[in-house]
Amino acid sequence: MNMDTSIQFINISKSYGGNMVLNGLNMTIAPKEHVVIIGPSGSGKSTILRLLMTLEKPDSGEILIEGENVWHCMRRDQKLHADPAHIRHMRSKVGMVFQHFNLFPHLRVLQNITEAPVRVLAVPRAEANRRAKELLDRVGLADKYNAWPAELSGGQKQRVAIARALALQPHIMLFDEITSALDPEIASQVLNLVLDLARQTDMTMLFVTHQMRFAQQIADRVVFFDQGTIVEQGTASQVLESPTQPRTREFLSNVRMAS
Amino acid sequence: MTWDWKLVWHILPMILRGMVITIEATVLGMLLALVLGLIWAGLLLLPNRCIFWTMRAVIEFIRDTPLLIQLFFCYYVLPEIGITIPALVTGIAVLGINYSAYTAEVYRAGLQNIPSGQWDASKALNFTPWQTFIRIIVPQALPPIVPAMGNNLIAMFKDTPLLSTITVMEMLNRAMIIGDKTFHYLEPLTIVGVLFLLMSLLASGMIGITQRTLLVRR
Repeated sequence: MNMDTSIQFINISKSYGGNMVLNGLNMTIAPKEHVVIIGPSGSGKSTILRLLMTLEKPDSGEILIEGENVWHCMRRDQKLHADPAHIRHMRSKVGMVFQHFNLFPHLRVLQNITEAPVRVLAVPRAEANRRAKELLDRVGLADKYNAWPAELSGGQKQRVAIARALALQPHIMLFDEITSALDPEIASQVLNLVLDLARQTDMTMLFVTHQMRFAQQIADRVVFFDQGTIVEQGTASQVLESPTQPRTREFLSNVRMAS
Repeated sequence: MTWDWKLVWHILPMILRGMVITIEATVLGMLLALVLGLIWAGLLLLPNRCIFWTMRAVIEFIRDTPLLIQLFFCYYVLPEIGITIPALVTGIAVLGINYSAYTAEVYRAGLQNIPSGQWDASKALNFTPWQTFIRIIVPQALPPIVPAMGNNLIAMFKDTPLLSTITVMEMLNRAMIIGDKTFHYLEPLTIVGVLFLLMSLLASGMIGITQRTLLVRR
């Protein structure tokens, strides 16, 4: 296990139908790095997160997490498909928060958070409950542990979703447009929570977002994506304030127009 | 034609014994259809295209051939190749397999209604596909499909008289035996009709209660 890199995309290609969404993507992310990916819809940003979360499989190329190949194993110079146990082991290092929360509506808040630790990590239920209540307290929802997801507001649902992902103690956290379905005032509450999280933990974090002010506060690196390739990347001030590529400038001015 | 109440009380016990068989066939047939249907629906979800098209062909075959012919085939033809099964068992098995083709459709529709985000979130939390299916997907898919499943149950119940054609002593069979013996068909057939009506209404009521109970829990 190589801890010099957290995430590596090597020559990743992915198509949906006839549409090539990612074409030979190369990207390396360091441990504890906070990377924000911005770009127009359809540019492949969410695909990157979905590939990393192993929700999809790349058509070609390699994905490495902490130096280990996710989908393939090398055995005597032969590249073989990894078995499901290995893929699940790799998947356990990554957590994801989704745009539409995806809470389990038939389980109460506490059980939403404890279900995975109990079923996947075999944590005893009492211990899982205790840790879940701590996490709920951390996201500011300690008193909601017995509520049904349907009773929560959007912002509360997203905070539960964050607690649920944190319950498995991933090394890498992915945030896929987590505030796009929230109204602006609620969105900033969630984003402040994530900022706290970024300061308090050592997790590598990858964001897809349209929130440029948030990007400026959290990003070690901003990557501008368009049509499946990296157009430009650098620090937040480099990319957001003084972009060098015309396409980047065009995108940023459109985004500022809309916000 | 006049109604003979004395005959009614005389034949009622025999018809009620037939009703026990009717209910037995319905309940066991439905259990089989519910379990098999869920298995078919699960198989239809797998990415393996071979399994998918085989299942589609099997389901299509079951739906496109009459239940009565399936019953006759299993009861009268199978013994010719050495497979002899008692009549009631044959009846329950054929009812169950036949209706599993319909319950599979109901399950499939219910499963399709589950947002893909539920599958994503489950995978992200590293549930196995089986855990996802049983703990996350199925509990959400079941309550909305209770009415449609209930209709299947009642339809199967009303199909049980077909079992009389393979010598099962359910209600219709007994009614016809009484009629053949006494030449009075009015009373036995009316009783059977009324019993079917009452039990269907009862079943509808219970389905409604089941559905409301499952909804309140949310």
